[in-house]
Amino acid sequence: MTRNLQHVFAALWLAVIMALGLYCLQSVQKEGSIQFDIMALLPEANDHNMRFANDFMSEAKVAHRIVILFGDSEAEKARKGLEQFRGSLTMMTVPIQEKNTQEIEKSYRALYKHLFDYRAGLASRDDFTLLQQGKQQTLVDQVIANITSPFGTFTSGQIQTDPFGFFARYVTNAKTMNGASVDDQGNIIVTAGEKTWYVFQGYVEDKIFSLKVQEKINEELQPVLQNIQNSGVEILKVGGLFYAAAGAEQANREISNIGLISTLGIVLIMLLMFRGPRPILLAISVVTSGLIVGLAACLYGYGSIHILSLVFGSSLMGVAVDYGIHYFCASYKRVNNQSIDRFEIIRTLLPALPLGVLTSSIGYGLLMLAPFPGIQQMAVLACLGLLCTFVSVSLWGPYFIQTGDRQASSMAIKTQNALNRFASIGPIMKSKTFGVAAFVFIALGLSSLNFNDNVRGFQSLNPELKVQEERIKSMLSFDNSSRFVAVQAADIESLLTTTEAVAQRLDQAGIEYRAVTDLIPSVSQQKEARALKARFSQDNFQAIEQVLGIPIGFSKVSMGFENENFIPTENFLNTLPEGFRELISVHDKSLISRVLLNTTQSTGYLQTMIGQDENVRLIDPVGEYTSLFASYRELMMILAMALVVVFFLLLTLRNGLGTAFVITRPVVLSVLMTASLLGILGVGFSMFHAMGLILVLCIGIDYALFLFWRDLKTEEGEELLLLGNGLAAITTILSFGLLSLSATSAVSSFGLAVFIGIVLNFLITTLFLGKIECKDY
Amino acid sequence: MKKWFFNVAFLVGLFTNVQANTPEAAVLPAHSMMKAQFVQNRYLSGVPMPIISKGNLTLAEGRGLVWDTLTPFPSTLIITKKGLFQWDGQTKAPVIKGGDKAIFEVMGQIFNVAPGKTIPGFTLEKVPAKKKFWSLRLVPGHPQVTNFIKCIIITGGKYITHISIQRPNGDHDEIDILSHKIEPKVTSDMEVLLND
Repeated sequence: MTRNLQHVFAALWLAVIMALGLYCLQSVQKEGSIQFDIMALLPEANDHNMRFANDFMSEAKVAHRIVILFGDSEAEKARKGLEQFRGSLTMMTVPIQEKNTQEIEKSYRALYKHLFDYRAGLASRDDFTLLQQGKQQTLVDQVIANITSPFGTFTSGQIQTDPFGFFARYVTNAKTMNGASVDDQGNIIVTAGEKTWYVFQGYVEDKIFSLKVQEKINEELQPVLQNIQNSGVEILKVGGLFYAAAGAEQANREISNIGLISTLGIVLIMLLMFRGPRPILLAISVVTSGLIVGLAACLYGYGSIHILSLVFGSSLMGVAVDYGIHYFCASYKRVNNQSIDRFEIIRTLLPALPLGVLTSSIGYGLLMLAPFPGIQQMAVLACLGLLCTFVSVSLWGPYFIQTGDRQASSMAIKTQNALNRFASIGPIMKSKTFGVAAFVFIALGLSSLNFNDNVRGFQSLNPELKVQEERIKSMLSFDNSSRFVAVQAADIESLLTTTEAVAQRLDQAGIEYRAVTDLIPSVSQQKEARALKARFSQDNFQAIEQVLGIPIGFSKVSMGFENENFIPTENFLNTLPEGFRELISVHDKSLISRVLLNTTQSTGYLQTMIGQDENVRLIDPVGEYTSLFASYRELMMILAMALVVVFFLLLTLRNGLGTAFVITRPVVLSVLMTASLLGILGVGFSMFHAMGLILVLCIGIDYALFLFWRDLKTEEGEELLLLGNGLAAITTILSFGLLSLSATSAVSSFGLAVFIGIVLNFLITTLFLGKIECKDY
Repeated sequence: MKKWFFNVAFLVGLFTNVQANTPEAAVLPAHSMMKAQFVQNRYLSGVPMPIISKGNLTLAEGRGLVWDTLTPFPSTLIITKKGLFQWDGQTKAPVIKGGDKAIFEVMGQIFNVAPGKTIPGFTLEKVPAKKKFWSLRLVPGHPQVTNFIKCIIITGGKYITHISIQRPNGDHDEIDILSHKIEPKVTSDMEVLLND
């Protein structure tokens, strides 16, 4: 390319980048072009069990519930705290809606009033069991105690209609409880120790993982709560929203701290090595150009981009900084004792640089196969972006290089010499002893490698909130079970009878549960209950008369035995009050009942006990996500292997089998040794470690490519390739390796794998290829 | 549920220490146990004669209550943090389950009743009483509670001697508490009943 043509192309490229930059600017201003909801990163649930789990989570609004307790030794002060919070809530833009407990209570009263006419077929679980087992005397004793003791629910109003108190016990046992009472204004209150707590229950009417919502929580809600706390009222809170907000705050803190250290470190090293800001400016220009192209492609292709895909994709593309480093290192090359022409620098980096770009782009491109929408966007951004960075380095690079004679800094030369000395021990690597030792290490490490796919392990729940949650749970009964049995059927009656069959098995195994059949039994069970109750009532009516001391006269009519059975309709089941509504999902073609389990028994035991067919499934949301993560980890591992095969094939096609082996050997060894080291250290290998190793493969192969195609005619010390690799490794460690310090397990796993992998890769590549005569191959 | 809960909570609580409102009222020490006898007259509308039952009650501070009816229909009811149970001499059969922690929350409040203090949801009114006795009227404010409790009147000296529970439909319980005895710690037979 002639010099003039280079100027034209560089200018044209700049124009293209600026035009795309304008397009990006215009696009991101549109509503919804940047996604903030973290759940959008997860794949859609195709699996049946996952769908059941997701439907339940959304219908029961599990993640959207929040509870805040305001406590003080003076009840009035605690109540004022709650009132102050309510008042502030109306002025906030935080999408929180208070749960209307009085309305729910009213709905229950109306429901029980309606069901009273059908009381003959309704019985509490315990009463029904006693009747089925024929334990009449036990039941009679309980009935008498209910009439005579002050704790009973019996009133004179029941004498004719429900003398045995069956309906009252059915209502009492069916009702969901939270262990709280209410004050004269309908506020929920609990007392514990010296303090009275006023309870606020609410729902978040937006996506709790939306970064915008979390921002509002941290900026609006938290100061209000802090203000109330400053007045002496203690506040406890629980809810997915608070964990998400605390997580977002922690992530921001980490990004700021780690990002700051990383940036300062990189700038300092570059200044020390290159004595000026030019390499930094080149790196910024190159990375920015790639980012603009990648972002434009995502916005054009997907219509939007997730904020994390943007951040993480840009980081992946940050490998382009390495190209700038190598470009600058190559600029110190000398020909006939003169600095190389700045427009010729790119030639000295051929074919290593384009091959490096190509291998990394293929690697990132393969991430498209991951079924995470976020990772796919990230892959497009990083793959396309990286290809463009190569164009930018090639076209713009010369304009960042100083004209005239260039001398490398003394520190750069000293570092290169030190690395040269280190590389001189390289031949050891060729010895059989090293080979055997490496083999033993890898075999030992990989055989002891454990996998950790537990989704709970990837979360870093704020410990302070966890303590508050435990305190709240000790005061209020929560429905905090996540496992349930999903029952499917073609019609309502079959759905209820199948649910009752599941409930019976759970009763026999002594497992606590909640099911819609506690409230609405099947017609067949109503018939059985009606018959059993009628016989019992007739047999024991005398006992009631004896206790009350008056003749009442047994009447089937007044006790409701002549009334019809209750036949629930779809509409009735869909409009049950909160507490039961989430236990059933009835739509045109889908009838599902959910039996919520409250047990610590293992999923395996429950699976065996309940049995499994397509209509009765044990759903363990945590387990489902864990197996999802396991399959993605496997996918990532396969992807890493595929990447090695692609690299190998590409290099074999270009330069033959020997070259492919020599270039890929260090990076494959370092990835295997990283996994082995994690195994020996007892670190549970997760999807995030696998992702880190893919990054090591993509970045690490470049070190070998640059060393392999170095100019053998150049005198030792004149070419700064080892320095270039060293600086590239340090910048990668500063950018990604420092993430291992993160408190979030997923992030630190990724960082740890990158840290170990890059360090090993730099050392092994230097030792293998630092001194080797590549023409041998 | 509310009905049962308030019945239990208030009665259990009231047996103990509402008399803290007066200088003469005794405070049940921590981990101690109070035994007493009761005579209950239950008046139900439409039933001409009251249902009279007699028996013993045992209150273990912070643990629960055993309501042991001896006549005319023997039965033993146990109230713990886990709910209301019936004891048949060998096993505890659940009557009301569900770990209703609120029983003890309200009990705690009753324990701490003192001049100037309030019980959320109830208005406390002093009622004229005979010499050396005190009397309090507890009136619920919330409609959920007023549906089945009109008011509770507690009378006592050193210990509570009488509780009257007035229902909105005219039903009422009149409970006399006699022969109070304080044990420094929970006895082993009570431990068996109160263990959850």
